[in-house]
Amino acid sequence: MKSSSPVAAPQTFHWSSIESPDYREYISNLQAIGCPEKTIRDIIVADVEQLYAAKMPRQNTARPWHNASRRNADARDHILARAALDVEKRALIRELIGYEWDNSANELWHQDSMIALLLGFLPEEKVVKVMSISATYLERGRALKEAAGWLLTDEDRAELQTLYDGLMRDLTQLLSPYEREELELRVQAGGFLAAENICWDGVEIFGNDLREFVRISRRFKAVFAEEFLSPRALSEKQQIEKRIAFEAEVNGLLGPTRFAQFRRAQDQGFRDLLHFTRERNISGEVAINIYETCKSADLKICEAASATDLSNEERTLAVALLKTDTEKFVARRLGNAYAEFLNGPAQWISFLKREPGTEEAR
Amino acid sequence: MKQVLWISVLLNVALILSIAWNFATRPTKQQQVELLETMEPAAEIPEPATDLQPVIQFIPDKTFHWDQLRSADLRLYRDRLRAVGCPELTVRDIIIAEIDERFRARRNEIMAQFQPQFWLLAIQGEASIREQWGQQLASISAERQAMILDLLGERSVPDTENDASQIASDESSDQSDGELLKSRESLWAAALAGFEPTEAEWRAVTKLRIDCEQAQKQLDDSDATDSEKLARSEQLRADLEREIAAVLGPGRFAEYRLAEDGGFQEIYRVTSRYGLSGSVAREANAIRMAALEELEKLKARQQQDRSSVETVSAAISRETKDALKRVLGSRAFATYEEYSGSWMESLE
Repeated sequence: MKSSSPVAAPQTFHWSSIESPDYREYISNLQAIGCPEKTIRDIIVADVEQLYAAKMPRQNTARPWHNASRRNADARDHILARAALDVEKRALIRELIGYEWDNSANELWHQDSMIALLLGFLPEEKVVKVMSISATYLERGRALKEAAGWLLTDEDRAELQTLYDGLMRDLTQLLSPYEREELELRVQAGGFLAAENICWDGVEIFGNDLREFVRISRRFKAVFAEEFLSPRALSEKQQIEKRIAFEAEVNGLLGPTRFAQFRRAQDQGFRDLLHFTRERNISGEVAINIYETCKSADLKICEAASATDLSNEERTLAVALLKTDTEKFVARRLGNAYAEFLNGPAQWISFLKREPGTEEAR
Repeated sequence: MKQVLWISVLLNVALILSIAWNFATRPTKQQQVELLETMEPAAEIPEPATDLQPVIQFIPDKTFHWDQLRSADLRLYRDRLRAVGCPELTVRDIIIAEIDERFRARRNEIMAQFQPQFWLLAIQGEASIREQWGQQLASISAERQAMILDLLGERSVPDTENDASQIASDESSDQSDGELLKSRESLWAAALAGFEPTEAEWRAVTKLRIDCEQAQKQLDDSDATDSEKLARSEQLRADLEREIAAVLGPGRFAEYRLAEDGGFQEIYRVTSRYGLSGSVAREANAIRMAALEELEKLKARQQQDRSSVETVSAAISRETKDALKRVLGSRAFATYEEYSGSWMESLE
């Protein structure tokens, strides 16, 4: 080995005198020379990781004439072999140091700001353990799905449920009730709000409200559990029923006024309008005012255009009047920004852009 | 809040760790010794100032203590570890842990500032989170990374090159294959279910497909009218099919065509999952094809007698499901129905 140190001092201690292929002996030797426990952990975990990295099989290179069946089978075998070794490695680490640990997870914790935000409420010593435990179970779940070719039977799902229960049990042992609940809610928040594209623009909502909203959302769609367990898809009817029940609960949480604000915030047109006014230092109240007026006018135009008690001429006139009044209102509220508005966020208000004479077609 | 994929972050921890694992792939002890002989990072790291030159007078083993290695000066700590023969990758992990300790207080300060605001930040959205929270942590991460680079250099990835060269040598076992592999057409076998060409068949069919692709390109660039192009293109496809049939022979060609069919591929996936033979997959597919054919006939009659069409359609659906259940077995049928059975709903 090339000496990379400038040290040329006489040495009576060499690393080889404490290093041992027997990890328990290695740990004992390190303890004997006063190596701190955390450093022992880092050394041993790194060594175990090196050991298993060398054991990890390489995937067979597919030949160009290999078909999908063979490629999939090879890929599956490869993933399963790696997963089995990974489980073995994690078990060994746990046995040696007494808890789950993963140096890569530790690195992620220090480098990834979103993980830091998500898990930063936990005491630091628990963060990497949570990540390591989760990774272990997720890896086992993935291997199970891979082995099933991602075609899950009831037995597979039962096994996944057992794994999931194991994960929850381990997390319960590690975390306090508050920590566990907070972790579950934060994970749900990230998954649910993104998956459902939930927006809060113009809603009077506070942190505690959102936390409650997220708690309620778990009954509608428990994101992490569903990702892990891959349950059978609900029928369309069941999905609609669940959504109605969820919205009723949200209504109960927020109250009618804020629930209406919540519904409004889910409209891309409203968000564009709000963004447009904010960019021009126009009050958000103006955006809300325009939005409500246009929505109301749009409804009235629809009614007028389809009114059976009016003649064609009367319908056309009623629609034109409503349209003109609304345009005037919007122009007055936006002032100089009105022209820009017509070319920008007004796109969603179809009647402001509609060609004359087409109202009847609605 | 949009696009804050925390769930993905957590769900992908396993994946990320596995990727990180791949990058961290380390050699065996023997390989490690060989690797250290070729490693360069030490040369890239500035030498410590003269007054920091470590002079380690180790006391005999029995009284040796870790404190004789440890130093607040990380360069000194690193060099002492190297001097006693600590493996380079272990040196790295020990020093990185020390670096993390240095940043702990600043990091915790930011955490303490932002954590109580988590739910408020979540309302404000990702852009706000990144702006307010991410930037402060990112600056610490960058400093940390710079310190790691300065003290330890880049982490080497010893096995990746070997993997790449292995792939290259496998893929170019035959010089002429190199040319074939440049075309997307060479991938035709990778999508097939059940049927696998021999090496010679693959080469012959790939050449035919590449020739056809080139003829199609020439046609696209030609001055022919759209209708002429369409007719010629159809002719090219028909010629290709005929030539492939000639290369494979009628039996193999029929298997090849079936293996290309998406509906058959879904059935094959399920039969493979349950260890059922290829003939079961083909039989189930024949039932599917027959049902779809009946459906087409029914659609043609739909204008005439809607109520009788619905009755017949429901009967076909029932019979098809029964037949598939009989051929596949109830468990494989349940799986097929869940994952690929939506077409059967259209029969009802």
